[in-house]
Amino acid sequence: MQPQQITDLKSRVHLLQASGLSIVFDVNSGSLYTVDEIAWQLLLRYLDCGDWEQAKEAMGRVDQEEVEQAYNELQELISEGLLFSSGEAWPEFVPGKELGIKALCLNIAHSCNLACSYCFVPEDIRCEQQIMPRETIKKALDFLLENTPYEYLTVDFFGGEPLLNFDGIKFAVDYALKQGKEKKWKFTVSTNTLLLGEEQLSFFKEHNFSFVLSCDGRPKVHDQYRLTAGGQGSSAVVTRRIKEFLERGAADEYFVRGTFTRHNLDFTNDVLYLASLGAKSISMEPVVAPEQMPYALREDDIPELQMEYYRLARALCELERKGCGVDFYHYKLDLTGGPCVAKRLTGCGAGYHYLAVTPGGELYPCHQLVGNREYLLGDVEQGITAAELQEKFREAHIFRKEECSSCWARFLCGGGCHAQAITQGGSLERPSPLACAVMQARLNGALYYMALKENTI
Amino acid sequence: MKKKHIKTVVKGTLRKPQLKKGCGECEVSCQSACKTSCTVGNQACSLNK
Repeated sequence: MQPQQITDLKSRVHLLQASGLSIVFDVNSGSLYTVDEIAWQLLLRYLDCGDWEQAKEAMGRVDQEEVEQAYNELQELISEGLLFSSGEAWPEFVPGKELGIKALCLNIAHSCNLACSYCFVPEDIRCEQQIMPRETIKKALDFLLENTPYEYLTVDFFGGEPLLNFDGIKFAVDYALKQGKEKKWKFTVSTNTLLLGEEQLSFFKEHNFSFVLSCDGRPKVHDQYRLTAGGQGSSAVVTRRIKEFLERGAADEYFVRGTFTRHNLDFTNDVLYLASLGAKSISMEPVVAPEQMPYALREDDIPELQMEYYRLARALCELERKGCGVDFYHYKLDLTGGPCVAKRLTGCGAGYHYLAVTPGGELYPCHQLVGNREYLLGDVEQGITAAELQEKFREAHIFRKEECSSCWARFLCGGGCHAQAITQGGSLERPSPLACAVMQARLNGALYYMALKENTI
Repeated sequence: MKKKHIKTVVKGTLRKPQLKKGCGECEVSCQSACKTSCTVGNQACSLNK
């Protein structure tokens, strides 16, 4: 077999071993297996040479009958299109071309009542102390309604701290429901919880809001970065707010979302802490930071990070075994009924499916690019004025990115975060190697979690 | 055939779009929980809801 054919074979499967489990993931079908040592060794040898007979011969002293049996089992999966399965000829079309705007991230307040030291929002924007006026809210929602081809629309209220403009949120919801009566709206709010009181919770409940509640976990971890303007930790208040939120069943859908840095690579303990507060849906995200920051993740953190994602998988299984399981956002892979391949090719849809709006009415591809004027797409008055730039986002799907097209994680990751590609990888088409390594470590953790559940629970 | 050497955890059905080019009604990946670290493999298809 030619080297190129072997490279192609290798791009169709992903093999990993963790804590005694040998796991095989078929990239194109999404099938997941655990295999014994004989099948594992046979697969490794086949991937070396691309020839099954040679691979069997290379098994040496291993019982030939067992090798033949493993071979037959592998062949059965191959013939069913469930192993080494080939992909579709997807690069023929640009899936993003078919998609229109359906979601807005309204930066309803750039002001914030915390001064988190790892915040990714540029300092000049944080200092603006801007609140989105009603006129901008109206124009932003008009822009969405005039340009969307969809029935289901989503609006996330983001900041800064969005609850500093609670009046603006109420106004936006009322306006959206009146102007878009025929639409099905989903509203979300990402909040640090400090201003979540009775009035806010009642309103959000009435409108079936989904929540992202920011808490980094253990008090000492949370208080390291999530500080008040006076430099005080916010953990005590946030913990109380989250407990109140959970006890009153304030929302059907929520995530308690933490950020981890290289200073708490043992973040399984933070997930467990959040679970101990009663949270059932948890997300723990890598910090977004320039590489020179002392808390930024580094390439040499990856081995430890990988081990931690495996440890998290075991911890989650243990919680389930005890009957108190929680959902970890990134481990909820759906390999049988998840998004269609078009979605898997296009990823987050930033720039054309999803836009961020600043308090001043500027349109950016996403909330992480707000303030990066090179990526300004237009404003709520004029709509999209940088059509060529928007086109670049539409075309930035995984088969246009060299690193993605042969990556085993491509259909699970969707090409990764555009903002990280721009700020860390250097361009929209070049994912950041570090972000890819983090993503792969997390997806390995997710596959291991699924395999572990099947084998232990 | 019952397998001795291989256990299937998930029989994957990574699908072609039900509509020719994807209907686009699904949730936007980064919106609902992470806000900084998009994944698509854990998203739901709105046609399955």
